[in-house]
Amino acid sequence: MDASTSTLSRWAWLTGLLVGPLAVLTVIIGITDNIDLVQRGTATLILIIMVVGLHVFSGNSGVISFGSVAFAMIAAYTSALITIPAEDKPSLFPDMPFFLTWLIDFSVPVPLGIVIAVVFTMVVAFIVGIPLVRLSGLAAGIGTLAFLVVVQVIVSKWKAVTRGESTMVGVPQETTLWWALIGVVIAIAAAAIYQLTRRGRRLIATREDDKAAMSIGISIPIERLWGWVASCGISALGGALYGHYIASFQPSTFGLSLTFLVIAMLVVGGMGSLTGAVIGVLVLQTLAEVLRTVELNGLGPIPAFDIPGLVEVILAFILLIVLIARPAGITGGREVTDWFRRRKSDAVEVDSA
Amino acid sequence: MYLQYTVDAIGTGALYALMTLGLALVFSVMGLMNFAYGQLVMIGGFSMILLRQTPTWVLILGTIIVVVIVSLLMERLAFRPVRAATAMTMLITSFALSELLQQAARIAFGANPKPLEQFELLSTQFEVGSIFISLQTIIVIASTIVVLVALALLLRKTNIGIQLRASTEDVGMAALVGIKSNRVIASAFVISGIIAAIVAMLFFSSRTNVSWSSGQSVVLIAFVGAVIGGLGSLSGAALGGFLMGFAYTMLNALLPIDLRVFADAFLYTLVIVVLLVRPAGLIAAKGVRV
Repeated sequence: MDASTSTLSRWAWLTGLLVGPLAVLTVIIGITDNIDLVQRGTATLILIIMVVGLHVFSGNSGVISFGSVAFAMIAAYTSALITIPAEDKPSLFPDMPFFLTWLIDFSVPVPLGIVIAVVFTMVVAFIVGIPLVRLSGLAAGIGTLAFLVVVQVIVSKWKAVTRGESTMVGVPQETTLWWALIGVVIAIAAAAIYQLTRRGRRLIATREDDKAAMSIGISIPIERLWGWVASCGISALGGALYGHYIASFQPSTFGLSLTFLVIAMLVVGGMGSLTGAVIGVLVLQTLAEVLRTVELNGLGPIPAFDIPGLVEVILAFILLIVLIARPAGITGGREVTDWFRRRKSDAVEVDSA
Repeated sequence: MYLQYTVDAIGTGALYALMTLGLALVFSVMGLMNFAYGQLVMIGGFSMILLRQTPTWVLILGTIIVVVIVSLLMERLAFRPVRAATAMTMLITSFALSELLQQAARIAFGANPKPLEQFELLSTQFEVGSIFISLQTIIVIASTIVVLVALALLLRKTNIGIQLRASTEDVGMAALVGIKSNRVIASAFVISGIIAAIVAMLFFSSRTNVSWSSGQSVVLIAFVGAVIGGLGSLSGAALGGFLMGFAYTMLNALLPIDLRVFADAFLYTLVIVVLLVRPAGLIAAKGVRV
């Protein structure tokens, strides 16, 4: 591929190269039909959706967001509220406020519920995005963090609608390995289209040099808002799928720990590249799963250990080593298609970062 | 009534101002938002438990020494290697470090909170007119003032203080005129460690236990306080932290009962509003000013 390759073919390449291996892995896991593997595979695929969601905004704009998990939470709760069977609702939500009583009799199939939840979350994202995308640097970090806290508090304390800190139960458990794979394909394809076409290119331009971008007529708040809404939509898809995967959750499920995990995966993979988002999840998730297996069963000469917290300590330590050794992440911000291009020819280097 | 709330709010505000100061100092020197700062406070809490039976001066000195050593180790082992990386990478490095220390504390001291024997003397109440002030509150306010004045003198009158201020203006330029960056940054971590130890002592002396997760809430407040106060300006950071504590206490006291559980939501909505009106913080300054 060289610089003249059309956008469509570059998009197909990027999506294909990222989705292909994931699909093969998923099919292998599906064929083994090992419950343990299927569960871990599904969770990993859902995490990929969430990290890709964060990448679409933070990776392309260079602006930190701690808020992506808040949108996953909004979508998970929304989808739960509209898909729990109508006959279960009176006992689960006895104090539903008057303006939401119509929800009691309202119940839709899960796929439709997820679509409605994603659209609703994108509308919320659009509204809160109008002020939030005006912030940059650490102010953006704190602004989005503050939004996460606000959503957390509301969901935790508005017991009549969200069941508060007690668990949201009775959510239809329908997310399978295959659903998660479809979600990943949608997320990666959407992210690739966005960053290879005009809208995404403009946002990337504001990341590279905000003044130069403004001088050619790019409006930073407008481009960031587009990226923000797209990003929140993908995070919402991940959140809704996650809700229907674990089937019972509480506000702390979508708390700071998940936020840090998602950000850490993006940074380890390499901020600024979609490939990095996928690789970051795969690397950290594989490491965590291997460590948990060793914790339970031991490995060769290493005996099983039962010290709560040790796996986390080792993971944090490895994360530190990776950051110190490769501060720009494993991919260094490059896409998988760049590696192919370099290998094929030494033609004019076109920086697509 | 309102006067009593105000006094309590000033007490909380002063403590939060100190918390924020320790975080902001390191940020202004090397642009690092050190999330592991909260774990320094947690470690201070555990060293208080270990030293509880010793004379008070040993407890105070011991806690400060332990926290400063951990703070220096952090700088040397984790932050120095990533100093040239982006702000985001440094932030994630501090997350990882924070998680490491937190989980290590969980292994060392167990998952359940460790009880801390009360300091009875501190709960002595003084009645002034119609309001009550505890010795605890007086000590918090006094310590905050002492630390602020000491920091101001240190930054203005001492050699290392002047080097620190020069480095916050422009690290590269300061290095060119012969200021050793490593030494200056290490000294910022020492001061930040001392402040964290003082915060730990003030914070935990009014509580009955210390938990491995105690540091998280501290750093969140400090983080937000530093940004709304104005990054790079120490007086701004102290003001931001103070306002966080003051607003939090006041919201909890004055909101109608039904809405009181949403106090945090109101507080953080206010934070967003402040950021939108003044994205650079309340006091946006270049360099350290106290």
